[in-house]
Amino acid sequence: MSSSDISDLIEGIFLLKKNVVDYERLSEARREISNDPQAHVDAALMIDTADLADAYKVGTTRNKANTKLSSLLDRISDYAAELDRLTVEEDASHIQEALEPVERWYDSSHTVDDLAEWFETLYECAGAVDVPIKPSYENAYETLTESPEEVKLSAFIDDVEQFQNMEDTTGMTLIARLHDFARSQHEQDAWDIYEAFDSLIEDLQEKDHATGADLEHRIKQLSEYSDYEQKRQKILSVTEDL
Amino acid sequence: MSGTQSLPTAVDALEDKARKHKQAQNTQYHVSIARHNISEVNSELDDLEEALRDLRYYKTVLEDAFGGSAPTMLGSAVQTAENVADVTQDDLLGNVKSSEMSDDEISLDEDETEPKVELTSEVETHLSQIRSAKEQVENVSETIQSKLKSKRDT
Repeated sequence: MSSSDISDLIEGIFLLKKNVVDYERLSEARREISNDPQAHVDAALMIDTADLADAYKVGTTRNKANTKLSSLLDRISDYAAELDRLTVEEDASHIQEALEPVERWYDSSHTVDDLAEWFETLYECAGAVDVPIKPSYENAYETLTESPEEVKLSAFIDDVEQFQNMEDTTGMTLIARLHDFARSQHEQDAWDIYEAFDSLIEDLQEKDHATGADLEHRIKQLSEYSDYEQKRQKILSVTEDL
Repeated sequence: MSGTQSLPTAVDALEDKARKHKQAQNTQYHVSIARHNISEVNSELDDLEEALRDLRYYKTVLEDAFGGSAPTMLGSAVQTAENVADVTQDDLLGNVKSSEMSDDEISLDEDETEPKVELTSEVETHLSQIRSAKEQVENVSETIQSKLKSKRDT
């Protein structure tokens, strides 16, 4: 997790303005948290407000200081507890799901031209065996054929590798990963393309296809074919009498 | 990172599957054409058989009732009829399946599901031979009928 991620995260959480608070002191606090965010989450988990007098209150102005400081600190502690409870299994399962098609089909030898050619072939196969074209297939096909320059495979795989080793990721780091994943999905069309490949291939593999005996065998089974033999034998039979 | 089957391998396998599907559809299409071709031949054979039965009737009447003799052209007409009836089922099979397409000719993006009413050139030839035989048989019948008429009139 980069320091800029943490900084952005804090900015997003507090949305503080320069002219409202002591910005210099706040910035220092932000830098400290950025340097070791987990230590601060751990510290927040240890907050105990049991001995804090109710007289301590906070608010946007002195006159509006109606919120007990203990409530504010409890909320910070609760938030830290929520962060601490985040797990890859429960909170990042969508990343694992998005990785599956990529891990199934991606290869470093792939080029965008390859992908376009293969998707076009699968598109034709879908038409041939009557597999419905889903909107996600249309989008992937359109991207590959009409704006292939927008597909950045090398940047994509850099992102993918970042999300492949998340087993021990928790708390603040996991929040940053979730944020990075949302950004990557927005920026990298390859996520949707490999997902479309995976889904279309599955559709095509599941589709029953017509099979048939060879043409000669099928013709020999026609009633017209056996009728023909009877008719010519009748003619030969009549000519014998002539 | 790729799994047990690479993407190009999967694409190739699915393309092969789709091609077999189209081949099966193509076979069905050509079976329909073949059925149409054989039906046309059978219909002409019915007409020829009817013409031969008429000829046999008039010939029998001429010979048995009037003591006449069939015209010499009878042998040629009968031979022509026998020749067209000598076309075996295997010969017919070869004639009707001549428009079959090979696997390499199958295109995945072509739609060929509506059978066209078409006759193969071999079946066209066979049909014209049957019709020619029928005309010869009918000519002999007319000749015999003329003989019968003249005998009845005398």
